[in-house]
Amino acid sequence: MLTLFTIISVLVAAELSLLRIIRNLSKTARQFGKGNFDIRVPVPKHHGELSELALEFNSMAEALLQRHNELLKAHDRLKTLSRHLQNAREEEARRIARELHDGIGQILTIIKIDLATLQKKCLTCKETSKASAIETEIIKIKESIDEAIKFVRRISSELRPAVLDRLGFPSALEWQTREFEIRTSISTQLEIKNIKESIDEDISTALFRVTQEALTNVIRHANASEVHISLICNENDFSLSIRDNGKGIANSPPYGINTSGIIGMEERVRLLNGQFSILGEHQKGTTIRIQIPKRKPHRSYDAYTTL
Amino acid sequence: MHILLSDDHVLFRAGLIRILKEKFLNASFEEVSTCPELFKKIQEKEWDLLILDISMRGQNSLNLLPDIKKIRPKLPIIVLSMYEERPFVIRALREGALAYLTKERASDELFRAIDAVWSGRRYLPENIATQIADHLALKKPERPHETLSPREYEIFLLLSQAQSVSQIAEKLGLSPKTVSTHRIRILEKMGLRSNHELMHYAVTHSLSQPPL
Repeated sequence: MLTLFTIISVLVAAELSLLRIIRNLSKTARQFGKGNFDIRVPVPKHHGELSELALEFNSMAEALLQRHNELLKAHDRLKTLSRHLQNAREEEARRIARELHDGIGQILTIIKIDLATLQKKCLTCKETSKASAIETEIIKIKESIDEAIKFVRRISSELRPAVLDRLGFPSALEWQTREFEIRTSISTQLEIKNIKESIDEDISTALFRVTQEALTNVIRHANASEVHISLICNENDFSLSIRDNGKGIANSPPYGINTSGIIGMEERVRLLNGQFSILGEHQKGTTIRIQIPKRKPHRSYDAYTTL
Repeated sequence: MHILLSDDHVLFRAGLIRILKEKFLNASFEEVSTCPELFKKIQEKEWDLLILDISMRGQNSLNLLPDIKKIRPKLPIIVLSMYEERPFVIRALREGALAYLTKERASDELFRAIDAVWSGRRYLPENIATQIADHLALKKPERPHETLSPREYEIFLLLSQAQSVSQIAEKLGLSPKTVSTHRIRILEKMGLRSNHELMHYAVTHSLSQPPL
C-alpha cells in the first residue's frame, strides 16, 4: 500500500515538475514574444528532451536578440543617413537658389544697366536711322533679359524661397499661404499664435516643406474650396495643422494618392522627433497635424517678422 | 550732394554709379558692402540718399533700418534688391524705406524713384504694386454671421442675449410667428442647432454690438 502510494506520489511529482517546466517555457516564450528579449528559460537538469528544448529556446532567444540589436543599429544608421541626406539636399537647394539669384540674377541686371548706357549713346549718334534700328534691338534684348531674370527668380524660389531664410518661417508661411490663395482661388485662413522667438532652422524647413507638400496635395487631389492652416507655439513644441474641406483622404496606406509625398512629410517630422498624423473624413476633408518639439536653435535667422 | 550705395555686388555698384553720375554731375558717391560698414557711414554724416540692397554678405540689411531711422529719421531710403517677394517689400516699407525697386528695373526707373523720394513721396514699380494689389484684393471668406441680413442680424443679437421669441416680437413690433421663422432661417444659415449654440457663437465671436 505504502509502496503503491510512494510510486503514485513519485509519478505525480514527476508529472508536476514536467508541467512546471513546460509552463515556465511557455511563460518565457510569451514574455519574449512581448518584447522582453533578455528573458531566458532556466534549463532543467535530467529531463532529456525538455532540457534540450530549453537550451534550444535560449540559444534561439540569443540569436534573435542579436538580430534585433543589429536591426536597431541599422535603423539608427538609416535614420542618421536619412537626416544627413535631407539636410544635404536642403543645403544644396539653398546654395543653388542663392547662386542663381545673387549671382546670375545680378549679372543680368548689370547687363541691363550697360544696355541702358548704350541706348543713351544711340541718342547722340549722328546716323539717326541706324541708331533707331540699334535702339529697337537693345529694347528687345532688355526684354529677353527680363524674361531670364523672371526665370531665375522662379527656379530659385522653387528650390528654396529667400523669404524663409531671410525673414523666418512665420513670414514664409504667411507668404506661402497668400500665394496659394492667389494662385488657386481656394479660400485659405491662416492663424499664427504665440510665435515670439525665432524658430530653429531645421524645424522651420520641416514646417515649411510639410505645408508645401500638404498644399500641393490639396490642389492635386482634395477638390477643396477652403483650407485652414494654424501654427501654434506651445511651451515645448510647435504644432501645425492643415485642414481642408475636400473629399478626404483614405486613412491607411496607400491612401489612394501620393503615398511617397505623405511618407516624405512623416519622415521629415520623425527625424526631428515629432509627431505626424493625417486623417481623412469621407467628403468632409483631410487634416494633417504635426507637432515638433522645440530645441535650442543652433543656427537662427537674421530675424523673423510676422506680417 | 552725398549718395550712399550699400550693396555687396561690386559690379552692380559700379554700373549704378555710372548711370547716376551722368544725371547727378556734382554728386559724391560712397560705397559700402556690409551691414557694419553701412552703419558706420550712417553715423559719420548726413546723406541725401541711401540706396540699399537687402542681402549683404549673408546678412539682412532690413534689420538695420530701425537703427538707421533713429539716427537719421529724414534720410530718404530706396531699397534696391533682387528680391521681388511681397514680404520683403512690406517689411522694408514698414521699417521706413520710401521706395522699393527690384534691381532689373534700376536702369529704367531709378531716377523716377529718386525724384519721388526727394519730394517726400513713395515709389513702387508696377511689378511690386501689382503684387501688393493682388494681396489686398483677396476676398476673405464670409464668417457665418456675415451672411445674415440686417434684420436677421438684429434678431440674432437679441437671441444671443437670451431673449425669447415673444419678447423679441414685442420689441421689434413683429408677430411671434415671423420672429420664429427668422430664427429658424438664422440657425440654418449659420449651421447652428439651438439657441444655446447661437449664444455660444456670439460669445466666441464677441458679437454684442450691432454691425457697422
